[in-house]
Amino acid sequence: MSDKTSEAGAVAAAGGAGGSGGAGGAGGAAAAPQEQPTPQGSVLSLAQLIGAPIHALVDAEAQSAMATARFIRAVGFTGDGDGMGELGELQMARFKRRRRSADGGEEDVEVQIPLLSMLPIPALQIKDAELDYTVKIVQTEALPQRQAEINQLMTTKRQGPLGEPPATLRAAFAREQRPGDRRSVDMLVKMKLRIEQADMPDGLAQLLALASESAGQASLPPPEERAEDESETKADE
Amino acid sequence: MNAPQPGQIPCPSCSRPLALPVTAVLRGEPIVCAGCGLELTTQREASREALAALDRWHRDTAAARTAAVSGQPPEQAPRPSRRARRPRR
Repeated sequence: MSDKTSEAGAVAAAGGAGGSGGAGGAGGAAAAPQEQPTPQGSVLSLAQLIGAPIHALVDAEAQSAMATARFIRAVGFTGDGDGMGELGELQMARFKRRRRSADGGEEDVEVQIPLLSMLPIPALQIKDAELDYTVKIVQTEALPQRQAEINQLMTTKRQGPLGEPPATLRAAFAREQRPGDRRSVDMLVKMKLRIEQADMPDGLAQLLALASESAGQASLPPPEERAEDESETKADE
Repeated sequence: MNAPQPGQIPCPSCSRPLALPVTAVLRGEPIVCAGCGLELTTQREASREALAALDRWHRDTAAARTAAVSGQPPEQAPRPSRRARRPRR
């Protein structure tokens, strides 16, 4: 069993358990040739084993942020909401109100309000996450070959107090034994997440403030002129 | 820089917070300021694109908003029974 194979399998298994990147998870492992080990039997460094679900959490937060950005594009702007092309203009809803004019009469005024300021913008974040691993240490290694790139990054100062190279623990997800139960629970990473509406990020707050500042009023022409304009527009069409 | 609450704008006349309920805007009902009595009427023709986007949002989030009010998860489409899923021989 090569190290590379086992790494890919175990990362896929942990990512699948995290529930964030479905395509890169169990599906990838299923496509592997039969002689390769199953993801559950993979051995990884303990850091990778612990890191994979945490990586999945960070990925999940990033996906949430992208969903918020897509929402703002799709609802708040006139551009193509699906792609990441031009934003277009702010999507404005137009209202009409009457106000007293300077000459004492009444006039119609158009009030433009950005759609973004009318809707709650979804922005979710993981409030807390509880990860429960059951791992079995299968091997300890001092400075293994696979850590070469890490070692390049490690300066002498960052090594242990005596300058010794870091040890690596190799581990696999282990079956959880329950007392009095002959059947064991399969290898699992238990995850408990609490999600909440995120505090308004500064960038989003500024966007909303700018949007509300762009709300404006303009006098509308008298009704007769508006009717003429509308009829001309229809004739042109 | 304070961002206003979503669904509220400062009243164009008295600057007090003025709620803009989405359903009222979509129905074309007048929005009346409780502070000064200002009446806003939706210009449906001029706001056609914005109202379409608002309507899309309103329909797409209807189940989630109902669930948020009731505290129950949104209903999912019923799964076919085991017998129905079994392939015919």
